Amino acid sequence: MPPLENVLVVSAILFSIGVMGVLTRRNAVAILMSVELMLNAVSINLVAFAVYGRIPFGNFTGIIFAFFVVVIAAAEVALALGVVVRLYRSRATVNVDEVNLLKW
Amino acid sequence: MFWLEHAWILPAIPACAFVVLFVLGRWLPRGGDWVSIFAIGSVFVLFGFVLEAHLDAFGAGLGGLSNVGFDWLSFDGFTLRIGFTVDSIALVMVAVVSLVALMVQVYSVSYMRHHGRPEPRYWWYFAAHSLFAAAMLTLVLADNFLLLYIAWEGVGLCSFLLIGFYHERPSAVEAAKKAFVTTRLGDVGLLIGIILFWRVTGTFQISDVIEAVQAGRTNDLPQVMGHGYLTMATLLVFLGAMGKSAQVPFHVWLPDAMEGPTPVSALIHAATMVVAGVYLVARLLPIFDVAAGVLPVVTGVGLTTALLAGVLALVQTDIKRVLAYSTVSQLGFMFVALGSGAVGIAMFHLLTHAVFKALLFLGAGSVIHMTEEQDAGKLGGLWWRMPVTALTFTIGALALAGIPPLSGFFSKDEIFVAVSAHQDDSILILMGIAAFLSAAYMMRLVIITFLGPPKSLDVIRRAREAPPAMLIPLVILALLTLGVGFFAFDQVGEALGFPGGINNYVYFPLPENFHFSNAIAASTSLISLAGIVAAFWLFWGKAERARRLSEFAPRLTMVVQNKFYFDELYQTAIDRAVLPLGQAVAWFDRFVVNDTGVNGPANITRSGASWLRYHVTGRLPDYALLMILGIVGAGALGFLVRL
Amino acid sequence: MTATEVVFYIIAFFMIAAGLGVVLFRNIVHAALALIMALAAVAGVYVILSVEFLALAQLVIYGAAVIMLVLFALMLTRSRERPQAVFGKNRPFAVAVAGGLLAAFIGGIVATEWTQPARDDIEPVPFQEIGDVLFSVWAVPFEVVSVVLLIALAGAILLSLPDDEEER
Repeated sequence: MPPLENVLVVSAILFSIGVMGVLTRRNAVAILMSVELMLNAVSINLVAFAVYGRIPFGNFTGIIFAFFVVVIAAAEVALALGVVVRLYRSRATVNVDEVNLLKW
Repeated sequence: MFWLEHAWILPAIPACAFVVLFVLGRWLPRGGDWVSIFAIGSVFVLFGFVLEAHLDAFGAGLGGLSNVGFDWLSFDGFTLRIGFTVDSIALVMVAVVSLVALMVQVYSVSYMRHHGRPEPRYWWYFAAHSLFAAAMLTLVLADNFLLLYIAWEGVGLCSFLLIGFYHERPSAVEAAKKAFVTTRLGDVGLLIGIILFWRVTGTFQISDVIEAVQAGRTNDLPQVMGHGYLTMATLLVFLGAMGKSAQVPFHVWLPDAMEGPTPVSALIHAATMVVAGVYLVARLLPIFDVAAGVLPVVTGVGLTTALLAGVLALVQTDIKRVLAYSTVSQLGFMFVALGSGAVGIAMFHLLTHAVFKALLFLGAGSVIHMTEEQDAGKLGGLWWRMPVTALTFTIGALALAGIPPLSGFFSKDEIFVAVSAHQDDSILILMGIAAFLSAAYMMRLVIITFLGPPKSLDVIRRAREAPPAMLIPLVILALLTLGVGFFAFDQVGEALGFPGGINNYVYFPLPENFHFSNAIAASTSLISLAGIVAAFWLFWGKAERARRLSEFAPRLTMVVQNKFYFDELYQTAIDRAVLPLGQAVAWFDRFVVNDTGVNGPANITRSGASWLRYHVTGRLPDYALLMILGIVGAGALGFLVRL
Repeated sequence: MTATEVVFYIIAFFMIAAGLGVVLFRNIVHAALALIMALAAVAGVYVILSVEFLALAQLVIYGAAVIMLVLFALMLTRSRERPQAVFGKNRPFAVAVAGGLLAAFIGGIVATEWTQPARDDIEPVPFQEIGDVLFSVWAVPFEVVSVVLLIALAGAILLSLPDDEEER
């Protein structure tokens, strides 16, 4: 098994890549994909802590939580894609730079 | 006892009529005048019940004070009760108000029409009349200072509304404003006086205040209730009475108030509202008695007013203004009576004056309505053209002059008796001069309007006798003028059901009995006759002698014709003091309070926001970036803290 | 360094490479394909961490369902106009911020003293135990999550419905 630090570092790297994607991409679907990367990084973190800290035996919290994250992510993707489709229908674009009604 | 406890119904009826007229008046048939007349008529009928109930209570030895009310405001150790009281003074006022208001409203049905068509805002005229009746009845029945003050301002408001009824005329607007502002000067004094009384007695109930003042009792403030304090408070209340009753130097508004319709002048500016000051002083006379040095002030003000207004009435050319100055003068008589401590006599003169002055105004209104002329220089020779009007008017004029056995003779005579009993002889002589003047100016008015030669053919051609709706009130009031004076005799009073005579009834704690003194009656009659003769001598025919008299002392004539320069004095005071002060306050308000205090924070917020809003780009990536930056910042901070 | 560790590093390498692909590929479909690889790599990490159940769930839900949705969304929203810039104007700054975040994470991880359990103590998590726990201790949250999922699906359908009655 790899040391805990290494797993955490890998997940941190993946999370940061996701952040970079969210900040740089302009396509709403691409941003959504980057968010998925971030979610997975967090799940890895949760699982790692659950597995490495599973003494005394029987602490599944982190694993269950990761499982819930997967489920919620599915729901979130379904909704977000609905929003994206809606957005596309009303503005004929999914470029977030052009969606700037949320201001003064 | 029902009507004693439910006296509030009296003002409530016209108040309801006002609401109905205010909301629906425009659309009611005949402008809803019948609503208003029905309301005041039912008040007049109900007044009979109230009087009967009160006489029963009075006969049973109950003081005659009965308070009914409800708690209006209640906070921490202080409850404000709104209540109505029925006592003899109030009942005299209710009688005057309901009778004269009924007469005037019936009269107005005809007066407020031109060639059979109602004037514009006919409905509003009657709505304002109903409101006035409600406010005036509240004023006289109020048992505490606050309700009294509210009603006091209410009648002032109605006066303002009705003086300015013809608001197309700038002069009417100016007059309404002048009346409102001038009386307000006195009202401020009244309010301060009320507050001063409340401060030491802790109550607004009039009876409680009187009791506390008489007992010298105070509310933990014994040192404040010195005579100086009491005198000041009483004088401030008297200031309010002076403003309302147009006493010098506040008399300037009343002649100008003649811009209103003539029936309004009869009701508000002769019979009811202007006597509110007299009523207030009569009601509070126990306090005026206790307060040192106030009664001489009341006498002085009344005497000055009686003389001054009497002189001014002699030179006026507008017949309504002559009547206005005579009202001022007669109110001065009432204050002199009050200053002599004779409440019953003041109220008696108030009653007789209300009747004959309403008669005079309505007669003048009849002349004005039929000839469309109110300048004495163009009237004249109307005696045979309008016989009923002329006869009734002359009866009213002779009553005012004090010719026996008309009502004015008895009440004026009573005032002389009271003055001779309680005052200095010099005051009696000055009062004699004032009585002489009032006889003279009234007869002058009769001569130039009815008896003298016609001055304008147009007027004579237009002149017809007034329609019955106007004549009936005139005749009723003339009959009352003939008869009401005899009420003063105890036998007549008892015959009418007043135990111990009317004077005993009207002011029973200090009965002022009717003292008929032959000497005084003879001398006042002689004075009146002298005044009438003088008027004939001066003004008969083309009034040559009066013109020569005025040329004999041109400067004095000018002073009198300019009304002793009171208006100029006010104008100067307003121009020099009030307006600059107002401008200074306005400047402070505009630039310091408004621009800096109110708009300042708003401007700072707005300009700040107009710069800050640019951080809100509306672009999602920017928000995400800021969120991440926040996380990084928080992490870095946590890291630093842990180091 | 055990064989497991070696496999882990290889998987981690692929995962990071695929993640960078998701973020950097100009062609959005390529990015989606890279996302499949990254998600599969995450499933591999789960296997290394001896949580096979989660790895399977990851593959089934993410690798199949989510990716399918994303691809559908891509197909539905292809811009008909000329292709626009893929990256925003503030890209260098964004990269710097992401780098700063990574530095903060790694700094935090390194600075922390982790209490390491003995490696032999870590056992594979049996499916049965996960099932027991999921349907006993976590039964209520499980039900809530299923309701949330249902509502989300209904909401997604509602969102993507056309506005006009005739178009339905």
